[in-house]
Amino acid sequence: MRRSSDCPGCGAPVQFTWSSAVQTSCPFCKAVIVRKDVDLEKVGEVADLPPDASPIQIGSSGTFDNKNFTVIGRIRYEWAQGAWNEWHLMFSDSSSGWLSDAQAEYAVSFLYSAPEAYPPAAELPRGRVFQISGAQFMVTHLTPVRYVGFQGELPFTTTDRSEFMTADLRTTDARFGTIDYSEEPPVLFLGRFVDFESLKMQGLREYEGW
Amino acid sequence: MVEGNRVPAPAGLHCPNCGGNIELRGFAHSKSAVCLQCCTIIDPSTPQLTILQQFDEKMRVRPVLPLGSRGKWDGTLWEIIGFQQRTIHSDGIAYSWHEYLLFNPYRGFRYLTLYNGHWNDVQSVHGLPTFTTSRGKKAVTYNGATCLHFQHAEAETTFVMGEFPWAVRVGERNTVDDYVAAPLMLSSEQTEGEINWSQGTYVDGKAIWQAFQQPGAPPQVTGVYANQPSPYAGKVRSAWNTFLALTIAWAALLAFFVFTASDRQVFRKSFHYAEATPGEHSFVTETFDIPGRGNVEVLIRTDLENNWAYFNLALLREDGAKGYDFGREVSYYSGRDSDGSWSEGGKRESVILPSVDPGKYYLRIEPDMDQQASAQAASGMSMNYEVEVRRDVPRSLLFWLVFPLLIIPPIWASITAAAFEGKRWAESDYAPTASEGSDE
Amino acid sequence: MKNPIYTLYGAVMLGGLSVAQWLGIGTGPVTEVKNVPKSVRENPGVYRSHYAFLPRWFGGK
Repeated sequence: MRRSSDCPGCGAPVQFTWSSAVQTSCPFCKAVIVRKDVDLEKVGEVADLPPDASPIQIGSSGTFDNKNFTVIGRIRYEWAQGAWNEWHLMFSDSSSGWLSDAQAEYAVSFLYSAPEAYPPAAELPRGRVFQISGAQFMVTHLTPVRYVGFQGELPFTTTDRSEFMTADLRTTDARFGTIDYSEEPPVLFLGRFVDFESLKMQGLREYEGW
Repeated sequence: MVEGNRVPAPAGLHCPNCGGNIELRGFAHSKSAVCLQCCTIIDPSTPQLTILQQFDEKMRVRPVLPLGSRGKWDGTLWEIIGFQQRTIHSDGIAYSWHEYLLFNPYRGFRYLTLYNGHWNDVQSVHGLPTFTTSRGKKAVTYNGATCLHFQHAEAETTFVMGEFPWAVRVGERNTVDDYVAAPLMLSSEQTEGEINWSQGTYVDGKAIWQAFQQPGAPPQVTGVYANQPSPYAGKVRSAWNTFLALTIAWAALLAFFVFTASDRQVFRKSFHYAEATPGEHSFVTETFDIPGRGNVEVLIRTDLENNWAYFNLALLREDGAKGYDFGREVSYYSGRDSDGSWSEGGKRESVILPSVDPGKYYLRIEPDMDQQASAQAASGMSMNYEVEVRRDVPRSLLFWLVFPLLIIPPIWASITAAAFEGKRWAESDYAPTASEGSDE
Repeated sequence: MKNPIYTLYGAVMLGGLSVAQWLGIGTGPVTEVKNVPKSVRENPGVYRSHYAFLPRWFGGK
């Protein structure tokens, strides 16, 4: 389901790997391109992401819950104690998910669509428990997050992002949730921590000396 | 599509304070790096190399595993990139331990901790341990393991070396709570109200030494550590299980020997004895056959009343080659007094002769009564008595002698296991009072 | 078998016990004597018992 169009900035052909992608960047002129219906619109220019140590890169592939995925995009965030990546995954069935990599601790999550009203971050006490999809999720951290930049194809546009809050939810097993306050109303991602080996990833970066 | 394939090794830095070289190993993960020459912590992720802290040079600590050592541990190659010493104070005494930060660019971070020769392999916990109570103690449950609260302490970072993926500072304090279920230890660390959990697994120093190919031997182990597996754990239960099996065998043997004892009468005869009768009082019986194997019981039944008699007895083999010589006193006294009726002794006695060979035997019997008293009695003293010989009578004495020997090992195992647990918990917040503790 | 030494120890104990029990081995206030002259049959008085000179109890309450 590849779709090719012309870059509204430089006219070069822009290819979408994922048919539902909303935002990408032009590899030639570094324009940030947002797709609106069938039209592409240039909304800015991408800034180079600072160097990071993640072994994952756009084009890496792997397996989660017996479904193959390819890494097609990435958002980088920062918080008080460091930065992390949310790698945008395109699964073999065209669904989309996220692989977060925070100092080489990995978790896979998906947008949880069941509508539920979450209180504003300022009114959300740590320790609050949500009953979500049959499990108890407890709010453990409330973190102010800064959007750093993106790469590749994303399912939404990040042009309006700067600083926002996230609430981290944990269960008694290794599942987790994140209430993302970058959108209104806030959205919930649910997932679980994974062992890197279990993802059987390929096309990873290599490290000199390793 | 796959781009920027190879990450170059991190270039070393020059310390902005003293100009000394700082080696880097943690790629872009490092948020702090220590210049050892001048004890300065810098942030290598900032272009201007922000100085985070300069700390006191006096408290240099030497890591037992050098930075840069690599070893294959738990199936993955790890490099030691950071080292810190942390210290707690308890009753005015400082206890310090080492933490070695292990790094693999694909697998992230992991720790090895060292205290008094005891090592723990520590990883962060992603799930949420649940608080509970077990055996009357505060406890947490995680992944099916219930860990008992061991210690609550304020841990201070007292020395750092190498690199860390967070901004490390000497003097930084955290509230640490340890929960143990050997070989596991769950630890919660609180900083500014946030709780982070990690799980340690007790490991043998030799395994670490081998993995990281260190020369010599790992540091000497002293004492018992909080989550050190007891060498007696499991052995106590299995020892008692073995004891149960042995007891069943013991009871079966006892039943077998009691029920299969032939208990056969081989001689029985009644006699009369009068002390006043002149001449030799000893006599021999006719020969009788003692068949088979086992013991022999000689029973004497008398009609003595308020009197005693002594029997010199010998069971002699007809051919004279062998015999058994023994003596028995029979006395029986009874009466009434202010306390009611009383009696002492008995009218019958029995002697067990152990392990008598089969053959033809006779008895030599030499009764004896009180000569002086007999002389004063109207018609002298006399008695009727009967002697019976039985072969292979059931006896359980040996069984009762052996039984305590069977129970010693499990009791010993239980005592040593309890002593080990005592040593473990003596180091905890739940130790017996100080005076009891100092007895050790 | 988790306790090979204890199991062996127990087996030896029970084995020894069985042999001892089979033979009727035990202890008692008995003296084994050898080469008793045959003349005891004719003249029981010549036999000297080991127990003939034991202190006697002169009893009663």
